[in-house]
Amino acid sequence: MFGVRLAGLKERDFLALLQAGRAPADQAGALVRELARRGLNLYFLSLGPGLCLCLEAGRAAEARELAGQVGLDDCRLVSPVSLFTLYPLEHSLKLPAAAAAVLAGRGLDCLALGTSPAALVLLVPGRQAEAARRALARELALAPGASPARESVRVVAVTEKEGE
Amino acid sequence: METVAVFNEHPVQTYGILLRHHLALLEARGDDPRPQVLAQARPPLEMVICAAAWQEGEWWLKVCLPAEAVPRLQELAPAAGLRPEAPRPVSLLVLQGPHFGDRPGIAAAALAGLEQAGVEPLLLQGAVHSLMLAVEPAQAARAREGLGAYFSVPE
Repeated sequence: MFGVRLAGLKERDFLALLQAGRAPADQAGALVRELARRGLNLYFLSLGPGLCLCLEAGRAAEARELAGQVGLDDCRLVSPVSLFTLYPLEHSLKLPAAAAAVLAGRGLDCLALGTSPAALVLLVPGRQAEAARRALARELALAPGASPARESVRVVAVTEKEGE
Repeated sequence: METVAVFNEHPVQTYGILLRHHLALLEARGDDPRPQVLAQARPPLEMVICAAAWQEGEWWLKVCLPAEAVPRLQELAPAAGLRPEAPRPVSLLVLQGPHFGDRPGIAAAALAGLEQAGVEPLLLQGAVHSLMLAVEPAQAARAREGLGAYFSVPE
């Protein structure tokens, strides 16, 4: 229908989405810095003028509390959410718009989406993940033998300070 | 399965920092979006990066695209149920590095570099293994210099 042929689709579950419609740069920056200090990874991040942060669901409440402490009082927390990564992007709006249209056409919620130079990331409510995976794989012609595959490896990253 | 990774890089190693000029940042909103209109555009609508989310009851779309591609997106936006705002000229910095999608602190380091340079990003986006920063074109060189204090590129 959209002329898209996915080469890969990956899924990561048990995440949460923290959103604010307006996030002043200093407050958003303070939140990002504090999340980093506490070792919380951001699986997706978009700032300006709103704020979208995707992080592990188990620490979402902590993140929302931190948001309040830096003055971001009107944050919305959606948990759990699932994150899909779709390849390839091909430098056009076709894949992001097609993915959003596929989900909308099935009555599924696309909470947020964003791109890297090569891939599309989109976030759906956890309860809709299975339906979203099936719809995206079928309607965006996921190549036979490719994913879907869950990203089951969780990297516990430790950043050491210089000299330690 | 958990994998413990220890990163001890100062500055953070990247595969490279790319700086692109002659781009624009276009924002559009609508409460009844029809994304299929944008998906079916022929030839496809050119862009560099985009982000979208439901916020405050509306679908907010942000697109960073070549400046010459702006008029076509503006033209199609109403049919897609979107109200475009005036585009802003931007330059885009793209950082890619090992495990950027899995390790904490990358965005915070980039913000620290920009703060040191006195630059406020118009858009900051982290997805997969990339971090992207849209800035005012006049501040691009300063932003690149600020990032250089926190990120290294291969020789």
